[in-house]
Amino acid sequence: MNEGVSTKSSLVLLLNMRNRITSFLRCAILTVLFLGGASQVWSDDLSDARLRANSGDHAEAIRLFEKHLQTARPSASVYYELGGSAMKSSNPALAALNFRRALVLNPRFDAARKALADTSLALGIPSDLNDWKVRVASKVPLNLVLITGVFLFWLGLFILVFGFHVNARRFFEVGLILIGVILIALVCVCDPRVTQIQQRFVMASQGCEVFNAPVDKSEKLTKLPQGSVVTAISERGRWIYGQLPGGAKGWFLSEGLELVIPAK
Amino acid sequence: MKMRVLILWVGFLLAASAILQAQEATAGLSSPSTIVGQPVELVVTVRDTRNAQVPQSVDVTGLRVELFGRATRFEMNNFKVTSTLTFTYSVVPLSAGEFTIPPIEVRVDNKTVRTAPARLAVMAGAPPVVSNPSSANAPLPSTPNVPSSAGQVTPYFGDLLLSKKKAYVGEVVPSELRYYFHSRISGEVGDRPNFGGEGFTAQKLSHVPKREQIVNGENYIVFGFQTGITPVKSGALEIPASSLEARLQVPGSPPPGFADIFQQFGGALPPGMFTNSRDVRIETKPVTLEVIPVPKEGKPENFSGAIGKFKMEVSANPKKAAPGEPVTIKVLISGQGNFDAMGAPELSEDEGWRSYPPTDKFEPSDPIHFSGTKTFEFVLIAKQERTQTPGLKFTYLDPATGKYETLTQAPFVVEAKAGEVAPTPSTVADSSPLATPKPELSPLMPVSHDGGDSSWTPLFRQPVFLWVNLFVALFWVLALIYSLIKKIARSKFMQKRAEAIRIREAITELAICEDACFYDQASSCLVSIVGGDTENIGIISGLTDTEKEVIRGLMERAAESKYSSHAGVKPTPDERGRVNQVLSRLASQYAK
Repeated sequence: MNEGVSTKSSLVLLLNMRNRITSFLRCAILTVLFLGGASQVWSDDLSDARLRANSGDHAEAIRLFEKHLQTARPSASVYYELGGSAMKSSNPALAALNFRRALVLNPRFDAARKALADTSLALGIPSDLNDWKVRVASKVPLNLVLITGVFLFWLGLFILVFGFHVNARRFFEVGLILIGVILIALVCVCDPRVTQIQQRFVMASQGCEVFNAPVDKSEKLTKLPQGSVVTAISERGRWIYGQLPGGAKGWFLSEGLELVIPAK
Repeated sequence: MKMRVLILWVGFLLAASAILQAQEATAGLSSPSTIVGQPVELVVTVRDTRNAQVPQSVDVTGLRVELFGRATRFEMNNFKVTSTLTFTYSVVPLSAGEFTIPPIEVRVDNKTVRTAPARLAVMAGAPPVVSNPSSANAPLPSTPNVPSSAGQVTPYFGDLLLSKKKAYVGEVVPSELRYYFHSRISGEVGDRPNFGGEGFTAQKLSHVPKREQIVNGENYIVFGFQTGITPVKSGALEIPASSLEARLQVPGSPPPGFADIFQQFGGALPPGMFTNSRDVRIETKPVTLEVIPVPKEGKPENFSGAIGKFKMEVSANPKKAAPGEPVTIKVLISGQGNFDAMGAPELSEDEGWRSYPPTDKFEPSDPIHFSGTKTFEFVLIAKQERTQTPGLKFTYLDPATGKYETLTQAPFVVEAKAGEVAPTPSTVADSSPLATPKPELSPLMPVSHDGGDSSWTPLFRQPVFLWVNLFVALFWVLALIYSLIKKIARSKFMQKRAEAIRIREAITELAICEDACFYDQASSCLVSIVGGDTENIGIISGLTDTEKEVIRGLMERAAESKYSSHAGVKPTPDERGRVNQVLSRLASQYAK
């Protein structure tokens, strides 16, 4: 009697498992199909944008590039191409913003660096690419350095731990840990996605007025031209307190400013 | 009866004269702009006085300002008597330019009061060569269009005055909205009139200081608002009426029976003694401006859109430029015209220079931005070694002649070395917005690779990276725990503790073991406790003589049991008890 009951419950269990596996496979197939279709949509937008850019229809190319970037993962080369189209349609501010974004994603993108320098000069703003962090990021593969640093750090720690019972001076392990920490810190300091997270780009053609206080009628300190980049320190409603390219600080309205690193 | 009336009037006037206090003086021009030779009026008004002295003429270079009229008025409003002196000067422009008529000193009794300075823009030349020359380019007329009212005095009216009746598309036409209120009425007027319409743009209305003006022999207080109208399409442009709201105290009728009292004394009610408050809307009449397109004949390809009369001053700095050092060409365009729509002057072609779109800044000298100075700054960087800068030319349309005029500037002699492009100076101190840039950029380089990340999140903040490191960290913590345990287990303390436990177990086992193996086990237990020093019992500290004797006996019995043929020497219970007791004490002593 008991044997019959246990056989029956085993069968029910097997049937349940089979149903679960079937529904899992169905979901997996649908996901793959959806992702495949979506990637096809993205690639279609991108292909169209490139075709338009090549045929000289830069306004439409800009629209398609932007549409593609709204749905696809960010790509330095797409931002670079978008900047190129903006440049050719006489919109240097949009071009500068997108070259800058391309450089954030790939700091070693020399073509984007040169294009940004040219566009900045055309906008009449000084280049801010001479910072040591920017120079380091432009020379060093940051992700590789980070992985190396993390590997050395853990290697040092493991050697230290497994040699714990051995009474010896541990210069080698401590050295590895220190080198790892330095490499990790270097990447944290130099990665443009960290250094430029608070930066705002002056997109408004009439520039951006900087005030002494977050009040419309307060004293105007200066006016930043289009294409300038400011670093936000704090925000109060529509007002942003930030640092200007020369190091001075002031208040400015958030209207007409674009985040260098787009909001998620 | 007549004596009573006379006494009443004298008392009335004495009371009123106490109110008469001096004094403020205002000055206003009948038009803010004119052309050479076309006079305008400067009216100086002094209120609350019956006697004042003004100079016969005012010295202003380029203008002839002479006094030619004087008028005095007494008025009564709500039992308040006011007196007003009006002096009218004729202002004849002798040359073109911007003039400021200085404050005019007015002597009132023993005091001197001054008017505010007045500005007058004078345009040069004759009327423009257009289909109706006599009507174009005229200054604002000083005589307003008074609405006819069958011989009655008009209490208030509005007027829109244009400086010309014919203009080009894009040309700025200085205009003034005027609202006239008869000086007999008082009240409050709105902040500014509503003004606007289709087919033109207008500058923000600028308030003109209140002034007085005599129109058709009547004294009016004039509220004026200046603006610049810019037509945006050709054809007949109708500028619609604009209205100003006001609350006025207009002459009213006395309460019933009040007039009878005066009639009993044989007199009549003084005018202006009673007033009524009334909200009114004063409107100007619509005005038509004929707008013509800019002439095609002689129009240069690069016409910047400037319409007016301008002059140009240019300077270049520095004269010697190091490699990469920019040379700045500063161009000052001054005069009268449409500065807001004016484009930059044109640099002549020179392959040896790299130029950038100029910055521009406008400093108006009047509130309607009709006259002033616009400054353009070109930044040039030598691509090749150069000894002179490019030349400059600026073309504008002169509305007075209807022809295009070109101002040119010859190249400046400089020494500029070729070199790398230096960054432009910091813009933080520069308060001027840049002109709309027209970048001359190098062609975009082809993308050689698609490197870089595909995320705005740095690698060290990405979930995969964090999870991997968390896993490694967990593994490391486990390894650390294992290593610590191993290290602790190998410590002397732990070894001693393990030995103590082992001895305790041996003693416990000794208590219950067979008699035959008692001495062997007791001997092993002793070796464990004292560490092999059993040969010399003397060195075992803390033993009494009796205990030493028990240990010695134990050693002998153990040796006998081990080496003699009489194996299995059995202890008596008494002996077992003594040996156990001694070993337990030794174990507890060594454990400490």
